[in-house]
Amino acid sequence: MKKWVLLLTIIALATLQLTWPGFLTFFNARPDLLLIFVIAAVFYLDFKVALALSILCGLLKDVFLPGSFGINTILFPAWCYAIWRLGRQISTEFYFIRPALVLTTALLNNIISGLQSVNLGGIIPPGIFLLNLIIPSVYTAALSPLIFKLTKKIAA
Amino acid sequence: MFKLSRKTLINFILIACAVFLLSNSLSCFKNPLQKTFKPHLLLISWLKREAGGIIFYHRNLVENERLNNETGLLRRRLFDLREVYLENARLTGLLGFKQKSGLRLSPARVIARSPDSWSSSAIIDKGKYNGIRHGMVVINPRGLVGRVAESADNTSKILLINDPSLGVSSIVQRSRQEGLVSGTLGANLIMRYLPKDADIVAGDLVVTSGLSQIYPKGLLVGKVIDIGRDLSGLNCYAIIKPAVDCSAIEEVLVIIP
Repeated sequence: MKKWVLLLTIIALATLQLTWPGFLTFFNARPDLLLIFVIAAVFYLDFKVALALSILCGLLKDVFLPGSFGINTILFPAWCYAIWRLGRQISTEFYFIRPALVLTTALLNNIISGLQSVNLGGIIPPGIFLLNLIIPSVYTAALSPLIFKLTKKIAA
Repeated sequence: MFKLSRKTLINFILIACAVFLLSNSLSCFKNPLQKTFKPHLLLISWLKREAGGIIFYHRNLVENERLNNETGLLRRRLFDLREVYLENARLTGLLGFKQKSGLRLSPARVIARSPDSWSSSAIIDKGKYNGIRHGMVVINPRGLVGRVAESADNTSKILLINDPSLGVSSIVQRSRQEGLVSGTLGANLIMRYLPKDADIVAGDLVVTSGLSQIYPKGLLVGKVIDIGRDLSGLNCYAIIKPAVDCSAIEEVLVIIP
């Protein structure tokens, strides 16, 4: 039952991310809801389940992106594994630690995706690169408590 | 800190290999997943549209009045242009030029947008079943929107003109100066490979050149707003405000060759 709820949540989050309302975008930036869900899954679910969900989330995100190589299918499980290892070394119970982790992960994810875009021949001015790097990451971190609460409720 | 046992290492390598294979075979997941998502994406986009209509009622009312006034003016201008068109047709016939065939267009609705900030793309509700194929050009009444990047059975992914991976061979309408227009992910486009003494000024209109055989000649790309010189000093570039607002497109037309 819980697995179905998790799958439905992923589909709902992916749909929301794809159809994010225009009036809620800042500088054309939208939050990465699937990335928040992957991180939340590491905290509230079993690691193996979280890893499987991270692969699914990455795959789902890549399916709706142009390009044939699924960078997020690789990155999402990698973040899942890294955060799981980190969670065993440091305490993530403080209320600001988890959004900070989301912010760091979103920044790293955006840096890699942005560099991949540049590597494929796209010319992105430095200002726009920084804007695309910082604003969506901060937006993602700002929305993370909501998804964390949702995941916690599903996991309970 | 990160000490791994032999078993964990083997598991890790196996999972990494599986994930890598999965990311390389992305294309086989695209069609079924996009097909699964289409119904509720359509529903959500319809709900968004209706909710937007209610929430922004006053804005729409004012805009409707403005558009009505504009329509009156445009009707008048259209009448004048029809006269010019008829005159042009007569003269073309006299000169013995071959008449160009009109564009075959297929209307489509944007149902989703790119899930990240590093590409500018949209998903439309028409696919292979509707005759949409990879590489087809997408426009709207204001000008060039982009190009079909992928086509599934029921949906297609379009790369918008402000995506950095899209390059459009274009010319300045006034001086016929050629250049390559590409996106920057921002609100403006950049026209590159212009000679340093290029005849281009702010306010010039930029249209497709028709040289690449992909984009029909004469589609409006945008308006020049600034000109600069690149770091080498050999070429200059122009900043172009696109004719189409890529962040607000809802309906598009796909050109079927």
